[in-house]
Amino acid sequence: MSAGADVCLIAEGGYPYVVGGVSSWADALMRASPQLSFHVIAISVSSQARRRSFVLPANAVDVTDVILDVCPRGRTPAHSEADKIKQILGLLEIALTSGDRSTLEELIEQMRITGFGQAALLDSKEGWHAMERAYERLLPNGPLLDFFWSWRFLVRSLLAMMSTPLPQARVFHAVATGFSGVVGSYARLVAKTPLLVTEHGIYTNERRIELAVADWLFDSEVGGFDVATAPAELRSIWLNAFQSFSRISYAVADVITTQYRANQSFQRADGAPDDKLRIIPNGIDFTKFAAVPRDAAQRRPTVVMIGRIVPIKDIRTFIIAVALLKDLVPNVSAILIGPEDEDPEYAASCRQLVQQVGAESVIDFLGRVPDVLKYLSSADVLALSSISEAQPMAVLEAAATGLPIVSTDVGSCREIIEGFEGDPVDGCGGIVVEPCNPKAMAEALATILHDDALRSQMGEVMRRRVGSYYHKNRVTRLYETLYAELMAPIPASHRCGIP
Amino acid sequence: MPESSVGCPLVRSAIAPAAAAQSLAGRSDIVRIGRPGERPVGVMGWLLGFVIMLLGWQIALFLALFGGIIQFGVYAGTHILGCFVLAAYLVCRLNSTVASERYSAALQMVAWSAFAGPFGAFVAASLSFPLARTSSRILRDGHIESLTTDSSALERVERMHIALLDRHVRLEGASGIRPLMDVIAEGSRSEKLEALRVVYRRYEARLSTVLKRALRDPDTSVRVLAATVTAKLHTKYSRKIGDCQIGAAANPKLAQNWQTLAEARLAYAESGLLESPRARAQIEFAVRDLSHAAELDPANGTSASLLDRARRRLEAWRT
Repeated sequence: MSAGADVCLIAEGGYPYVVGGVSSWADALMRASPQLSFHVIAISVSSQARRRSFVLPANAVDVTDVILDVCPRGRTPAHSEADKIKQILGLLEIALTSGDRSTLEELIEQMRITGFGQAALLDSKEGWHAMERAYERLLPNGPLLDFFWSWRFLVRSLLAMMSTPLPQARVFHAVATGFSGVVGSYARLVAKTPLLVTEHGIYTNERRIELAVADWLFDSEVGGFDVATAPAELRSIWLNAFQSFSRISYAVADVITTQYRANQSFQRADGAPDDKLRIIPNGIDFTKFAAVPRDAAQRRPTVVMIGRIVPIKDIRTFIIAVALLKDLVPNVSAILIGPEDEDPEYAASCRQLVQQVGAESVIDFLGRVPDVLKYLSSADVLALSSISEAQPMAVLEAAATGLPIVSTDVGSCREIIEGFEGDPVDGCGGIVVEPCNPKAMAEALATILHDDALRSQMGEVMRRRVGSYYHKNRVTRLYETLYAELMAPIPASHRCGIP
Repeated sequence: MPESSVGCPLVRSAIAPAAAAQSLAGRSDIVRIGRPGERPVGVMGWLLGFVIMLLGWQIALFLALFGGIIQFGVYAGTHILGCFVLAAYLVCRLNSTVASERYSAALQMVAWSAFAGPFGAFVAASLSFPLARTSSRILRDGHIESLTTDSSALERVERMHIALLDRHVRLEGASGIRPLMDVIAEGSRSEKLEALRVVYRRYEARLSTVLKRALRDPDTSVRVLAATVTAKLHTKYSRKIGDCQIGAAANPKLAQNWQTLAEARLAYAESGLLESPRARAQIEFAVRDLSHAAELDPANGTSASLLDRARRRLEAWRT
C-alpha cells in the first residue's frame, strides 16, 4: 500500500492506459488541483494491454490495477461448508440481478468471514450446482456454454472487486457506476471513506445500447416482434448485472455528479436519490484556448472534426456530409483529427467511403496531431457527428477559440450551443442537427460557411458561454469544494457502513 | 460517454470461449413444421390407390379360395409370390428414390397383408391413414434442427402456408404484438429500445420509417440507439460495397466481381436508409458496374436482368 492520498480516482477501462474523453478528463482533473494528491485504481481485463498512454501527473502517487477476470483462489472449502457456499452464491446471484446496498454489505461480510474465493465459489462441485441453478432461473433453454462463461466472468469480477487492495484515501471518486461504482462502494463500506460517483454518460444506457446492437452476442430472438415481454436472453443477464451495479453505486455513494441536466432524469429513473445529485460541467483551460489568434490568411473554407475514428463518432455521416457540402461550397476543405488505432477496421471503412463518395480531394485524415490549436485557429467551423456524447471536450475547446459549432443533438451539445435555463449568455453558437443526417449537417455547415457575419457572431457567443460556465477554474473550484465537503469529518449519526 | 469503459469488451471477452458454440446455438430458433408421422397430400393419393389395389387383390383371392374356385395351395402360392414381388418392387423403389415415405408405408401394408391376408392389409391401412390426416402445428423448441430440402419437407411447408392463408393456424399471443411504429410513437422507453433492437436484428427496407421516427424521439436514449442502429446498418452496407470494390479492383477482368459490386450497391439503394439522391447515385454506379460486367461476359443473363431492373428504376426516378 502506498502513502495515503487525498483522492482515490477509480477509472474503468480507460485511464491511464486508453486515450479518450473520460481519460483526458481524469488527467485534467488531477493536474488542475496540484495541491491534492491522487491515487488511481485502474479497472481492466487481463486481455487489455496495460501500456500507459498518459504520463502520470506529479500529484498522482500510485496506480493500483484491478483485473476483473483474475480473482483470489481463496481457501479450499471443507465438505461441511456446502451450505455456506450455497448461501454466498445466492448473495452473488442477487448482486448480479437485483442487488442493493444491503446485498453488497452482506456479501463483503460473508467473504471476510469465510475467506472463500474462486476455489470454493466457482471451481467446487457446489459452485457448479449453483451455476446450474442460476442458469435454470436466469436463462432457461438458453445456450449453457455462453451462460457458463458469463456467470464465471461476472462472479469472478465481483470477487476481484471485493478483494481490491484499498489505498489510504480521504475520498474515493468513481468515474462511472458499473465496475468503478462497485469498487467505490466496496471502499465506502470497508474503509468507511466518502464516495463520489461522477457519470459522464449514463452507464446503464450505454451498455444497453451496446448490447442491443452487439452482433457477437447470441440472441435466440424467441421474442420475435413482441417488445412488451422481455424473454430471458444472454444480453439481459449482462444488462441486469450492470443495472444492479448502478443501483448499488447510487445507494452507497455520498454524492453523485454528472455534467448536465438531462442525465439526471436517467439517474433518478435508475434509482439515484434526488438529494445526492449535483451538476458539475466539464471545464477547459479557457485562457489558453481563447488566446489563440484566428488565422486571417486567405484560405479555403475549412471544416474541422476532432475525435477518435470509431463508430460512435459516426465519421461516416461526417464524410457524406462533406461530400454533399462540396456541392454547396465548392472549394471547401475538411480535416479529420483523431487516432485511427482503436478500431482500424472502421477507420479503413471510412477511408473507403471517402473514395466511394469521391471526396478524396476534400477530406484529409490527419491522425493524432501534436498541436490541435494550430488547426482550430485556421478552421471556420467545427463539426461533430457523434451518435453519443456526454459533454465533449473537443466542442468546448473549439468554442473557446471562437469557432462556431455544428453538432448532432447528443449529450449536452444542445445546451452548449443553444444555452440552458439561466444561462447568462444569450444566443446560439452554432447549429444542432439530427444524428445520422448528413444532408442536415451539410446544409448547416454551408449556412455558416456562407455567412461571415453569422459565423463571427456565433463564434463570439460560443467564446463567451464557454468562458463563463465551462471555465476550468470554476469547475476545479467546484470539485475542490466538493472534495473538501466530503473530507470533512462526518458526524457519527450520519456515518454509514457495515457494522 | 466512457468511450473505453470495460463494459462490452469484457462481455465479449467473457463469452469468447463459447463462440464456437454460437454458430450452432444461433440456429436454435428455426421453426420446425409438422410431426414426423405426418404425410403430405401427394403421398396420400398414391397410398390410397395402393391400398385399394392391395385390398382388392387380397379380397378377390380370399373369395376365390372360399368359393372353391382355387385350391389352398394355389391361394397360398399366389399370395406369397404376389407379396414377395410387391415387396421386392417396393424395396427397390425405396432404395432408389428420395421420396421414400410412400414406399415405406406401402411396404408395411404388404408385410401386414403377407401375414394376415386381406385382414392384415385392412389393419395396415387403418393404422397408416389416421397418421396421414392433416394436422398443423408449429413446434418451436430449443433443439438444434436443420432445415431439410427434400420434397416431403417442402410439401409440408406448402401445406403450412396454405393453412396460414386459410387462417387455420395462428401464432400464440400474436394479438399482443403491436406494430413497431406504434411502439416507437407511444411505447415506454424500454419498449422503444427493445423495438429498435428488433429493427436492427430483422432489418428490411420497410423498417426504415421506424428508424427515422425514432431519430426524432424526445427521449435521448431512444435517439441514441436509433442513431447507433442506423450507423451500424449504413456501415454494413458500405463495408460490403467497399469489399466488393476491392475485389473488382483486384480482378477487373472478372464479370462476376462487377456484378457482385452492383448487387451490393443496389441492395444499399433499396435499403431505405439513403435519401433519394444518394440512392439514385448508387443505382447509377450499379448501372455502370453492370454495363461493365455485361461487356466482359455478354452471355450472363443475371447481369442483363439486373441491369434492366436498375435502368427501369432510374427511368422511374426521371419520370
